[in-house]
Amino acid sequence: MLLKFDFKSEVPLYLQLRNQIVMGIAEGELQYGYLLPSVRSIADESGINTMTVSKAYQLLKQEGYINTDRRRGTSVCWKKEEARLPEETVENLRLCLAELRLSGLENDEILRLCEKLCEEEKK
Amino acid sequence: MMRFIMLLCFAPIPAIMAALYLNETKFKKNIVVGVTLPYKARSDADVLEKLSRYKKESIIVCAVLIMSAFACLLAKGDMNFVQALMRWLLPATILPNIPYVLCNRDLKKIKKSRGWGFEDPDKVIVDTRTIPEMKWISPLWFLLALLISLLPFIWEGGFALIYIIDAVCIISFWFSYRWIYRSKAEKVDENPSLTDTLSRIRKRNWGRMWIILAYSMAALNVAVSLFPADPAMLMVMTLVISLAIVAAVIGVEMSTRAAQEKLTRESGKGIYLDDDDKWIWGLFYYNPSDYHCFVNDRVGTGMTANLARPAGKVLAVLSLVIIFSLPFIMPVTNTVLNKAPELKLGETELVSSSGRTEY
Repeated sequence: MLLKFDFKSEVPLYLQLRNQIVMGIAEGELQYGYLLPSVRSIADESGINTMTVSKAYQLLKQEGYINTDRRRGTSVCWKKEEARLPEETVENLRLCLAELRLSGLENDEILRLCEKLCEEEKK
Repeated sequence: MMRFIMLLCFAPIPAIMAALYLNETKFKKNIVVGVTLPYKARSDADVLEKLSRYKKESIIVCAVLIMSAFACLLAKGDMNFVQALMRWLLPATILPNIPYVLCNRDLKKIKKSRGWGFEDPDKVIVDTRTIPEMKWISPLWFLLALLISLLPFIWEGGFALIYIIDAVCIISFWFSYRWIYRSKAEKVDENPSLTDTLSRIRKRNWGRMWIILAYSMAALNVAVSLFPADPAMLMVMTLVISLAIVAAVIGVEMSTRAAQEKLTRESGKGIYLDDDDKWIWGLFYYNPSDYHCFVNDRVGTGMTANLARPAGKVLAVLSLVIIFSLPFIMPVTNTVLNKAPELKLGETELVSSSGRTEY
């Protein structure tokens, strides 16, 4: 998997890492049991502070995407069959919907936009 | 005799620097004299002309410095000779860098004019498949060296301070080996197996270097303890072991460079890694986005400080202070040692003092 960090982006580095791992899981690139690199490895490789990488891993752990084992390391623990919709995601979606409506889109246009984005993601 | 031994220690410095710098003219990991260039640059007439000029300049600088080291023998008196040698050390450390910096600047100009650079300084891409697996040398190997270094306490305790200093050095070698190393993939192009091989070679040679240093220190302690009453032998043993350390460390560095050169001989034809923008004159690493204080040199086994970090700045200033204070060490020492003895008459005693010693 390729992790891309943009140091000029307004998105904090830990969120950039967290988002890319979530995207990797969603796209099937990181499957159940996939061993993620250690905190120090990612920090050494990217030049990011170990605390920043650790923060991203902590967040992913809290969200139930990964788990950490002292001997095995950090692995993906998200399973499709056990998937649940996090409340925070629903809240974020509500906010996105409000922003889309404020930008002048009607419901059917929002749905079409969502369909288009889903198609793009599948590719 | 003393003068020749000192000259033997100092005079090779420009030659060693020249050998390392001349080695930079061979393409390793697509880098030549600190500039990343594509494969086609290896046959570019302008690039070859600059490299050829750089080699000549380096050899001339080296020859002039070695001759000037021998000129120090003309100084009258041992103190003046050592003083001259210390003054010589400053240009000997700085001058070999000048041809390198000039060549680096010229090559960068050629690179820019040909449109060979494709850097995006604000983005970093990490390939999780090529992150090297960390397998460290067991600390027991360093512990063994530490125990050997402390063995002389059993039969000769006269040099306790030296034994303890060397033992502390061995502990610091383990610390440097284990904690300073930055386990970054030696990525050159899109070939993951090449990245893996280069990373392994560097890691192995990094370990070899610290193990050599640790056992050399242990050997030094044993050697010192074997000739406690023979200063000449002590000096010879120290000199021999010091030269062996320098030779071994340069050997490890050169073997890493040779492997890097051999393995990346065909690299740079497609996409290749280019982070020249983070290297000032190809020598100094400056990257505010990199949190790490120490980074791997791009070529060879060594490490360098990130000058964008506060600790890196402190290290750079300290190094400059040390280098620029070299010419003043001997005059200061000379003043202290050659201070006229003083006599003070008390009511019941006569105190004579010379430097810091009182009689």
